[in-house]
Amino acid sequence: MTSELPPLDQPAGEEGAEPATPPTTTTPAIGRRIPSGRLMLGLVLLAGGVLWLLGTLDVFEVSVWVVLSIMLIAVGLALLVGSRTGHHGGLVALGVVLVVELGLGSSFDVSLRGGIGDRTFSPTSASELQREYRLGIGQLTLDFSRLALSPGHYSIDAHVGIGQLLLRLPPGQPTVGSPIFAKAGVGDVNVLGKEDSGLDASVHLLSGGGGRGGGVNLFVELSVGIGQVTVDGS
Amino acid sequence: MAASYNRTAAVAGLVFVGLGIVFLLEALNVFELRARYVWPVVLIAIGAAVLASGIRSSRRRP
Repeated sequence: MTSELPPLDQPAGEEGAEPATPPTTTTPAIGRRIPSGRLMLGLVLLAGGVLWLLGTLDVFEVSVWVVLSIMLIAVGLALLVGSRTGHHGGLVALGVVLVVELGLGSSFDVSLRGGIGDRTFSPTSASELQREYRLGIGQLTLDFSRLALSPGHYSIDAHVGIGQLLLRLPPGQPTVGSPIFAKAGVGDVNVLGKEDSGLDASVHLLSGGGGRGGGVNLFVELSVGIGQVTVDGS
Repeated sequence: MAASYNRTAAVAGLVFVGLGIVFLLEALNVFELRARYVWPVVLIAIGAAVLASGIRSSRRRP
């Protein structure tokens, strides 16, 4: 009976021969896994970016704050799941950035929608009056001193992310039935001499002293994230 | 050494999940966060997380 094994003096790997045992050297780089921290960080960023883009493209309506909140939850879950495999400094850093951004955005209402710079609006008739005014950073001046309104209900909502918001009321305003709500996440609020300052500064003027106003009811809501709100009479 | 990092990651994960849920509910207008409460609570959460991770790692030392 002849043996089918190669002779002992024949070197393994020689052409025509197969090694009797598998090699014991280190495993090759083929099939090396992506580090789990980077994998999770990449997935969180990718999912957040896709959600954000779809919202921007109006594929569906989603607030940027909802996207950032979901990203923060995902980062937290990824850290919990991946805590067995390392410290994941990148995920922790991303989480801290998200917390700061969400904290600033939600508590101080710092929305940078509306651009940057100084804007002045001076409508003279109801048709020129906008329902909403927005500025990201800068000074927004609403000069209604030449605004002539016919009897009716009007409502304006103005917001500045960081900066100043100045409203000059129409002649005869404020009147009974024309409330003014003004607030600042951080900063100063001055409505016809009534002042508040600091965190969550706000002044609510529920009923003005300018008489009935000829049937004109103007509802005013003003806010800044960080900065000043000032309301003057004409 | 690696174990303490793991605990830090786990505590940070818990804090982020908690804060993320709070911010998400606020973004969905379930309730309104006010600045005078948000930042103290964030500081408390971060401080508690740092303390928790520090206490756990000191218990493991002889």
